[in-house]
Amino acid sequence: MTDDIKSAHHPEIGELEIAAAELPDDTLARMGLDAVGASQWRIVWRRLLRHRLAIASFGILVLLGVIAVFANVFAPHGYATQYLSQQLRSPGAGHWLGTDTLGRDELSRLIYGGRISLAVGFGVALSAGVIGTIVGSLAGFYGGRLDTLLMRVTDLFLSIPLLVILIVAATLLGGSVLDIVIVLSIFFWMPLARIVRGSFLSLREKEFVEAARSVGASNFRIIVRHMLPNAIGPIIVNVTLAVAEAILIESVLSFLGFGIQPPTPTWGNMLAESRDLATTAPWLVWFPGLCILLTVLCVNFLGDGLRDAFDPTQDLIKR
Amino acid sequence: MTEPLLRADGLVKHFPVLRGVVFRRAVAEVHAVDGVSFEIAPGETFGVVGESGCGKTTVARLVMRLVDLDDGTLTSDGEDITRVRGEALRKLRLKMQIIFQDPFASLNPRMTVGDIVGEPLHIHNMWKDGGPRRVRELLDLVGLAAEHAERYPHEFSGGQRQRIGIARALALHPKLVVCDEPVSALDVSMRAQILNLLKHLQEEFGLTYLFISHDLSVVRQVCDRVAVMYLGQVVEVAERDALFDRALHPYTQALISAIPIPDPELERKRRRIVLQGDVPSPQDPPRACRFHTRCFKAQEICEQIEPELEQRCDDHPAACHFAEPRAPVVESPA
Amino acid sequence: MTDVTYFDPERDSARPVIAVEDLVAEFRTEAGIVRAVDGVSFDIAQKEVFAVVGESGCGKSTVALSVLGLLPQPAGRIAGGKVLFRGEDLVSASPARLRQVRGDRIAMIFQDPLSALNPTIRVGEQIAEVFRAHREIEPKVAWEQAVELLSIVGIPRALARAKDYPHQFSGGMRQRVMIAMAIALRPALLIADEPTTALDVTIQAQILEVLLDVRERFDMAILLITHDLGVVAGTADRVMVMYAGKKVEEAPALDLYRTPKHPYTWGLLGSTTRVDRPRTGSLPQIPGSPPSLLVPPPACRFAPRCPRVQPICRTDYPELRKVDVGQVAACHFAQDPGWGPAPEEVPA
Repeated sequence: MTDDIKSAHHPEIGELEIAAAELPDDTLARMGLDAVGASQWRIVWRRLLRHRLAIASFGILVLLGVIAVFANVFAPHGYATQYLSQQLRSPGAGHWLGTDTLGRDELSRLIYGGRISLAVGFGVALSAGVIGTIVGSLAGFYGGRLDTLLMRVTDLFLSIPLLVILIVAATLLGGSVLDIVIVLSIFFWMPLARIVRGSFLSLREKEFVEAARSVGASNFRIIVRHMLPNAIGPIIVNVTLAVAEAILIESVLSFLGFGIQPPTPTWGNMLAESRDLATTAPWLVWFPGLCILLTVLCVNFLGDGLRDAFDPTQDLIKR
Repeated sequence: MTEPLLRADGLVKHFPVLRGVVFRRAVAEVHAVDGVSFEIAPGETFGVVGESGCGKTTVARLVMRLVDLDDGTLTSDGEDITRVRGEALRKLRLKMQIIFQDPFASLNPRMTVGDIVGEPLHIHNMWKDGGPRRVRELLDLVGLAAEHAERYPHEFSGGQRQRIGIARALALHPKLVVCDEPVSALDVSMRAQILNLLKHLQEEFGLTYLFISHDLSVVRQVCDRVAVMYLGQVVEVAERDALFDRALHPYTQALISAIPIPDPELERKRRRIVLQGDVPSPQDPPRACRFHTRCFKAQEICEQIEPELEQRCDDHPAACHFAEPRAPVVESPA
Repeated sequence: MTDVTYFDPERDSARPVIAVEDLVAEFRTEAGIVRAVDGVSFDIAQKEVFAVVGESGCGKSTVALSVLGLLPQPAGRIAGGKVLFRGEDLVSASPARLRQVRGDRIAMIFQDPLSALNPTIRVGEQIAEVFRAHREIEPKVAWEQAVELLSIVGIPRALARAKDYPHQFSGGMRQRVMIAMAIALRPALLIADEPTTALDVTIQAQILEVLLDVRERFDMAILLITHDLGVVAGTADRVMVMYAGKKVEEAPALDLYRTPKHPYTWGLLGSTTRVDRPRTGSLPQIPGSPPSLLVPPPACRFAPRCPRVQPICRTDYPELRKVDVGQVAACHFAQDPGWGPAPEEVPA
């Protein structure tokens, strides 16, 4: 609209900073960090540290991870140990989070269940993230026939009903965690591939990409150094969402009887088993639900923080 | 003229206009560049001017081999560079560099200034050989401080960013620098600084510039020779003063007369040629002389026979059936 | 709309259409409060073309938006001063009253006409809509008026083109449509914010001609916001130069170009490239870049870049001084005899 409001064509600067754009640009320079001698990753880490919520979330996730890995140390009881006299105890001394219909300690089951749920969530998100990023990058960068081919393959995968394939695959492959991660990954990469392709298509037209080409940068260098870092925001958001989704889908599998089989607990199958007890033993619904919710929230906050940390223009915001 | 540093002969580039989602097909062609020839001598600043859609930016990208030619040849120092690829093209980058128009879009926002300026050195394996020192040297050359290397582009003003872009272009000691509208996105005071910097660098390193601009006043300030483009074709080529004082093509005359002069007395006394209508679509350029739909001199012949770009007076070719000089910009210089 | 103030020649021709007094406009930013416009006053007479020039960030567009009460919300606000439209203060006016004045008595055109036009409505409809928003008028009459306006601004075959959509028009033609919309209700003041910056030069010449023509035809005053000293030279009657939120000089156009009294003004004039002058060595240039408005220089804001800076410039703020009829400059030395650019600061 006006030259004062220069940020209009400059997506990195958000709406709030319309006014800041009214300033001569070197003001912003004065507000920027003097990051002398720091490497890219150190700078990212330092910015992340300023994002309190993200750091808290990161702490919680690490804690959950440690507890899950050393489940045998932290769990007060075995996950399959049945205290037949103490079925459906509500939370209290002895069993802090109560017991289930078979008299198993809920807390211990949650701790063991975290092992599988977290492994499935992160495993699927990361591997699907890698596949989606690679497919999307190639399609968006090269365009033309390769783009058409890759996008048709993506559409094909999207059009197959997930559940049908999951059931078939799970019966063929068995129900180990690795199998589930592999099968879920294959069906989780498509949305990301489309998103990455989209941002690559627009980045491809940017002058700085042309500038890199004109100094002789190889295609690989342009993708890795110039385009991926500028597409990192949507990638991170998408990957964090995938964590939550994978944890939940795993529970659907368990529920249908094709995922991790009882008595091995996962947050998903614990939630599923207790669906009829929502009124009589509500804690059996709440606690696994809360665990999933907590993980999902933390992953999302961490994703937010990471996205901001990777964006140098975010230096403007003082926290 | 000595052996040209760059010779462009009959450059043609048509971009297909694509339609359809699943099966994309070309429904039309944009005649971005349609038979453009010129030569650039070592050490000179060769200007290409024209309005948007005239193909001047495509010429810059063709010369830089950022897009492939449909037809024509490019020769640099007697070597045919029309189709070089791979390693040979990388070698060519050492000789030819480009400065972009938009200082906000031409620098990767996720890289530090030091990384941006140093990238050409990394790519061409020159980093180990005093890379950081060279980056400091380049920043100093364009009027930035060494500490700026650690900052990100968004922390700089438009003028300073353009300096960063210039430093990157100079990193490999090129002979030819293509300047694609290097000052049109800048404020007046920054514009003068950058133009002076470019001139200083030219004198210091004997650079040759291909200077693309839509602004004839900037062209008059910096260029030695100028080609005027209209709808993908060159309509006139001349030495700077010959062009501004004795323009032959009606389009050039109109273009010059349309540029406002920052002097109210002269500006209000001027006889201005106001062209009718808009630039026709390059998808479907007019037949024969492409300018005839807007030309104040147009006759029947202009719709039938395409005028050749031929010498009218000494070394001053113009593509018009009725080429003749018009009085200079201001009738009687006050 | 009964109480819209119409122009009454007897009452109004002597006083300015708009008088801005001591305007202060601020923006809240993450880093603090920024005064984009700091104590700026000016007035515009009937039928006058008044230009505000300056570089990006100098506050010229903020002035335009303040006059219309259109500062971006919630970050921006008018922190002081008055905007008197025919004596009525628009700063303290109710939002309803402002809406009434806006578009009717004061209209605005922008740099980018495409984003200001609705892509899904025929241009004739969009212009007719202006009438219906402010006047009780038959749709058919509104449409006829719209067609007439299109032909006034020089759109060929207006009757047919009124049925076209904005994307079917070229950039220059869209700007003409914007002008037609803006002048539909015969506003007393037309604000043109960089109206030709996005256009090619040959089109720019056409649009400026249209603007001057409608000014003549409808006795409108024009507030022209631009960075281009060439455009100003050909169109403006009086000019105000802004720097870092402050008014640094104001003068009739001829005097500003002939005898600039503020070093920033002559710095700008000197560094402007000219199509009528052969190259003479390097261009005179203003060193450095504009200051931060978060922490502006304490006294004269141009002092850090000024070639004539003296100790007093860094300690005392220079008030506007009258140097000639209608010419004021905010420089301590503006009234000194012989004060002006040195020969090397103006290219021959």
